[in-house]
Amino acid sequence: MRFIRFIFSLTLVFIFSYCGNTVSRENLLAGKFSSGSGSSPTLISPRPGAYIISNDLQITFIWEYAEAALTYSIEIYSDAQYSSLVTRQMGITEGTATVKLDEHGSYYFKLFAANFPEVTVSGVLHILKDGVLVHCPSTITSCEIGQGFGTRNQPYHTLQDAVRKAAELNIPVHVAARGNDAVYRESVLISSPVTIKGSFNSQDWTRESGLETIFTANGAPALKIIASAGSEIRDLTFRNLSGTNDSTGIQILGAGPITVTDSKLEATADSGNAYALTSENSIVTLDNVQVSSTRRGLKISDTSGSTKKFAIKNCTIETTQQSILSSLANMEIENSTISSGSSSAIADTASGLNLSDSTFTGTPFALNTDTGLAKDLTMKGNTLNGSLRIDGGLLNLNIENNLIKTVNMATAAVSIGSSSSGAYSGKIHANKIQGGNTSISFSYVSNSSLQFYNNYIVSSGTATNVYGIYLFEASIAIENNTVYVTGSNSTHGIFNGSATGTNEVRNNIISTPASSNHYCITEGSASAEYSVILNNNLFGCPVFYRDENSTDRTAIADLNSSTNTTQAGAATSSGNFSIDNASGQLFTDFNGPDGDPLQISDNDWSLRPAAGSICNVVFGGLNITARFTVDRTGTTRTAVTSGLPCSLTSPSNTAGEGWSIGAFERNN
Amino acid sequence: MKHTIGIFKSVYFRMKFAALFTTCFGLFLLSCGQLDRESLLNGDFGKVDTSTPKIIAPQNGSIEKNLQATLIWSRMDGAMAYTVQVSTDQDFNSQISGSPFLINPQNNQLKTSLTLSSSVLQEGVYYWRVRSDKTPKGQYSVSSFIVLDDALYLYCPSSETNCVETNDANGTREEPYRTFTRAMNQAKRFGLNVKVAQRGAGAMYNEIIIPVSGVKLYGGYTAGDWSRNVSAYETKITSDFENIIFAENFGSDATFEMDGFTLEKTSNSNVTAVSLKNSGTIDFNNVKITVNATNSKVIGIKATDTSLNLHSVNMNLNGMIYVDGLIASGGSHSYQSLTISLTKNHATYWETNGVQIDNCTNAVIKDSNISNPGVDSYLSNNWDAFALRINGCNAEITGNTFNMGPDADVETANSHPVKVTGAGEIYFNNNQLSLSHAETIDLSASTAITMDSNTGSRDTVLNAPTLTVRNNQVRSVSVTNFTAATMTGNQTTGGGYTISNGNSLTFSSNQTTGSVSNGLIITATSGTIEANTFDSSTAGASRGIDAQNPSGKSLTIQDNTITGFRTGIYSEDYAFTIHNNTITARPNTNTYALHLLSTSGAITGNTLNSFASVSGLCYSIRMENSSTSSTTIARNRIDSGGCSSASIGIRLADHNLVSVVNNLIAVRSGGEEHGIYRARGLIANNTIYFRNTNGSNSSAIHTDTASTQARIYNNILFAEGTGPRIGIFESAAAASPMAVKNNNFFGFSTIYTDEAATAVTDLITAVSTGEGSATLASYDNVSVDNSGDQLFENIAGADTFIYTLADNNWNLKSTAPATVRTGGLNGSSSASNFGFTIDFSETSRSPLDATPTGWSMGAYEQ
Repeated sequence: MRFIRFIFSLTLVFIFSYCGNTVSRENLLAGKFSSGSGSSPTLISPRPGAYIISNDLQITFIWEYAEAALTYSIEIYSDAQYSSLVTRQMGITEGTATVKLDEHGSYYFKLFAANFPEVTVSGVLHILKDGVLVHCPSTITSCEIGQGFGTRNQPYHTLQDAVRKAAELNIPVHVAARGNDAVYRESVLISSPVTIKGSFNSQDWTRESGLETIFTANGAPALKIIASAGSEIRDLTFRNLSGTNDSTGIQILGAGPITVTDSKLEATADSGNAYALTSENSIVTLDNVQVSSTRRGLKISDTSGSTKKFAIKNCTIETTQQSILSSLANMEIENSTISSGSSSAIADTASGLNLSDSTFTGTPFALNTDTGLAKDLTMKGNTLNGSLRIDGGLLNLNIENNLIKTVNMATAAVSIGSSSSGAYSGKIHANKIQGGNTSISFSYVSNSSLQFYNNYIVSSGTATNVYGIYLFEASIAIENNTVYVTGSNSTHGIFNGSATGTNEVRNNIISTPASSNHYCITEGSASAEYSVILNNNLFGCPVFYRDENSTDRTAIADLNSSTNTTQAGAATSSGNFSIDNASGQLFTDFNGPDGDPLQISDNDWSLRPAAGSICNVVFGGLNITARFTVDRTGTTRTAVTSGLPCSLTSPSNTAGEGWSIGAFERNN
Repeated sequence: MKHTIGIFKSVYFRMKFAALFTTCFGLFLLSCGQLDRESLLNGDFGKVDTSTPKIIAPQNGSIEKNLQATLIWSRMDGAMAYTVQVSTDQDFNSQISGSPFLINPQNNQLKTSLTLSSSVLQEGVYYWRVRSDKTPKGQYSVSSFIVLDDALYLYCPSSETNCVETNDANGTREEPYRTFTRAMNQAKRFGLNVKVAQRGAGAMYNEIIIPVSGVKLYGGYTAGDWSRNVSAYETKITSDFENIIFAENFGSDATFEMDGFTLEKTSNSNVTAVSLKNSGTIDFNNVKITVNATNSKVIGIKATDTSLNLHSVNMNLNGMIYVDGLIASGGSHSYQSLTISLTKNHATYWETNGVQIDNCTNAVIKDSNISNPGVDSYLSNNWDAFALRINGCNAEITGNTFNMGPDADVETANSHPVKVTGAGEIYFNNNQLSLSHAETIDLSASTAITMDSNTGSRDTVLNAPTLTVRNNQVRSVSVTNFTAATMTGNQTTGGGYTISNGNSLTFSSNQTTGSVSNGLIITATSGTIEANTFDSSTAGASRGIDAQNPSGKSLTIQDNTITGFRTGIYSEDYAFTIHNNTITARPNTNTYALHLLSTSGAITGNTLNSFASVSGLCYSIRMENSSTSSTTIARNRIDSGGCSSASIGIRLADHNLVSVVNNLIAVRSGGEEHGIYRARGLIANNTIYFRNTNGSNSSAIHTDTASTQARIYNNILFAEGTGPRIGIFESAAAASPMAVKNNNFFGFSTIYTDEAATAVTDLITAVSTGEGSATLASYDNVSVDNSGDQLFENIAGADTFIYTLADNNWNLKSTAPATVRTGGLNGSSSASNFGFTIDFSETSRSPLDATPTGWSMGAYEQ
């Protein structure tokens, strides 16, 4: 019995002593209660220094179980000195264990056999969730390369470190604001696809829109993207503080597609052609980006000859000098506001532009396309506070439904072509164009396929000559426009300085009211013949047609007379007449709400319902369906030649085919 | 603890009572919280998980390197074994050797991993699956992985116009990556290198390479079998950018290596093929850089604050206006077998540099070949051209070839084949400078320069505290500002040596040949100039050694051979030893073997030939404005004469602190001949001969009014010829020497001419009648001639020509008359105290009696 009590007691002793130093179940069942000599664990996974992307924060350790080991322990610390214990597992009886962490970060582990605690395998592991993290606290004066690991508790101090690691791991970079208005000062190079998101809170790593995350560099771009495909920048601010020519906050070179979203780009130099962003041979999209510059905004170029593209959407660009200097083949601007204080909003030398629903403000040009590559220009629904200059030739134009206003009396609201011949094609239609001394000028426009129709145009200037439409060596069809020109000296609804090709004037309403030297249509020189002048309504003009720049035709009949036109006038001229707007008979709201017909944006020059003599205006136009089929509002042009809802049974002018004259169609 | 377990174990196995065991063991298990009692009794030892194990690693698509992989899966409760299958196909029809692997418990451990080695794995894609013995049959967890050795693969076939990554690409031989960017990032992630295959059909990779730290790129592979031959499978890279390789802010610890590539670009705009800034350490091995930008600026490699190791890098650059091979600043640089060839596409104002490195830690350039056509003369002062320019680096430059030219106008102040300045130490060894044009090779270091065994045809300028310059063959060498310099075994051709502002100079066994104006110009330097050969072939050659402005320094000039210069050694103000030199001065209007101004020291044992059959002056030793320090002229062989104005053996300066002793002096006929001119100090035991065949008053010893302290003892003076032959010639009144004693005169038309007018046939008489003993003590002189060759062993030497001192033997015969053989004063006696005790051949003089006579007359003791 004493023996039994002894055994029982001994068993209890064993239990109490053993359970703190567990022998594995297998060992126990196999009758193995002790181990021989020890050796250090051979860790199979993870390797020390590894980056582990884990959502569940579970880290599985695998190692070779040494025969001599009783059990194993794993200890996890948050510091390299192994002084801050995070968690511990003891009594591990197999060569594997899974540790559950509470938070992402860099952790230091120790693995050792319980009976050989002095022999350990140790190292650091970096547990990431969904991004490599950057945060250099404002308390650090100099944020250096090589500091941190990109983890929650040890974020990188520089974005450069982070983008390299992100490219390696193929995950985004998250950047926290430094705090206390501190900025990151480094020049970051991106050469591999990466997504960088800013405005993170360094405490809990959530994004807060108010946490502006700012990068700048001394004498170099804060961000340089070279040959990188598919990178995305979001919620970051890049500043260029340099006044050196061609300095920039972001430089993009041979890269793309690059997307910059919800960010700010700034240039704050006092001198030099400094930019907020430059892009060369790249595919870039700016979306909801605010660009502000005390010098220039964006410089976009394409020397590769390929079809690179730069898209600006929902952006605001405000600069002192040129907002955008582009020589890119293909640029799109959509729903944006671009404003230059003293220069062009866009200076383009390649004219590959597609502008829509945006506002451009520049002095004197909102958009200035210099001589350059031959590319398409498409403009729809934009407001240009400043002139539009199109040059370079060989352009296909589609300029539709824009409001274009000059800000400089001497600069034409729209000028197309320059001193050398250019083969323009396409359409300019349904625009509102307000000029000073000139609303729109066509010079050396050699391609007769260019159409100018459905626009309404006002000019009011103080120059010796004020023009609604100015032609010089221009081959063009001017059709169904409404032109209103005033001035203190000579005014011209349409002026042809020198003729080439075909100049066709059809279906326009042209008015140049006031004094005797106001001309509806002027032949500016002996060689400035018009090809045709057909079915226009001219009124308010003391001179309907000035022939050879010397003989004034003050009667419509003279304009329509072949006798008067055979030698010195238009080759074919007929169907023109003059019905004025007396008592507002022509237009529904000639002066608009502001009472000023020159304030083009609020005028409504729609024709009133046909009544009396205006029937000829409403139905006396030629049917040129083959050229276009709608008016400036998109209403279908209709040829109504009989059963007119007025006193006439059919248009009384020659060849009237039922189209309304002027920019607006009316069918009743 | 072990002890406790041991006791328990022992007791347990002796236990005979099942109930006790059950109670104890059950209590034990319950206490440990591992198994409940019921389960244990029912044979259920724990939960059993019948699902498939979770695959931990490798996951799908992961890369395993070094031809091994460790498969890891989760532990399954209740599992007693696992089965792992590994196959090269998804259907597991091609399982590898050993598959399926059955994992059973070992040492009571059931592993959840399996390591596969290269014995069963090759490079490629593998599929693996695992199940436990509790998993329903046929169910597995499946994954795949890629096995590589030490590198992944990159290949874009030429059939693909644009190299775009495909979804299939995984970095294997079969599905290599298409782009460097993707390959490098993957290589970085998995710790691999990248092997790149030639595209084929002349196609190049068109991608700017932005290095990823730690990644090595190896080109020169063929995608067929991925064998490597860098030249046969030339792997070319170009880019649409200004750079082909670009790294910026790579980090000081970053590393990157490229091996076996050709970087090639043709452009109409500026090209810097490799641009590196603050980018750690970059290694290029077996890399060619070829740029053709005929209208633009070209730089092969530009490295700022980046260390660069180049091995077998070959640059061939063609540009306009500016073409630079390698421009670097900061970092540490090591180049071996670097070849740079620059060509230009512009006729004028062109700047080129082969290699330029500024402010680096070290610059090591070995076995390289750098060619630079140079800079044209237009605006030449503003343009630079270097084959190698290093500033502010320790430099080791060995075994290289530097070529400059062939532009005809390249010799500008800024055009240098090699210029190294601001260095701590410079080693410039075994280089060849093949230079058709360009200025000096400049080396300047704050600590030391070693320049050894270089060859080249241009001038070399060295400046360092410690200089070792040896065995070089260049046009000239200039050194300055040193505390110690050793210059040995060098050979200059067409230029000599210029040494200044130095101490502890050892200048030995050097040669100068060719058309050289001055063999050695040395100023403000002390040291030894020994066993050198200075030989000029030009008629205008000035001085073999020109030593001036000593600033308190002294020189030893000995054992040198100097020929072809109109002045062998010229010196001003130096204190020196000129010993055992052989000097043959070039015939000239003024021909001097030695021309010494305000000097002091010892001129001993020299052979000084200044024979010149020309007009003007021929002096073997010309001293002027001697300092107040003593000068000894002893045991020299002097062959002078032939000049129509004056031919003089030794011309002495103005003070009496001079000893002219034991010299052999021969003066050939030519104008006015004098053995010793303007006698001063002690003139003793010389053998002086001249020949006069003209009407000038010639003498063995000439005196002037400053000769009153001259003591003329023990000399053998003899002459030949038909003109006036005077033993001692007082050139003016009051020009008497102090003493003329125990000399042997013969062959003279006049033994002594007093006051430049009075011929004295009896020297003793003349003295007694003219000067008085207080002015000139003259006695015991004799006249024993050489009739019947009674005096000398072989006066005409082997060539029967008496002037050829080198082969003459003017030894006194043992049978010479005793009046000559023992009639000289005993210079070692306290009464005479000549200050020497040896003869010309440095044999001790042995007086037959103690005093007053017993020495042999003349230069030789008998």
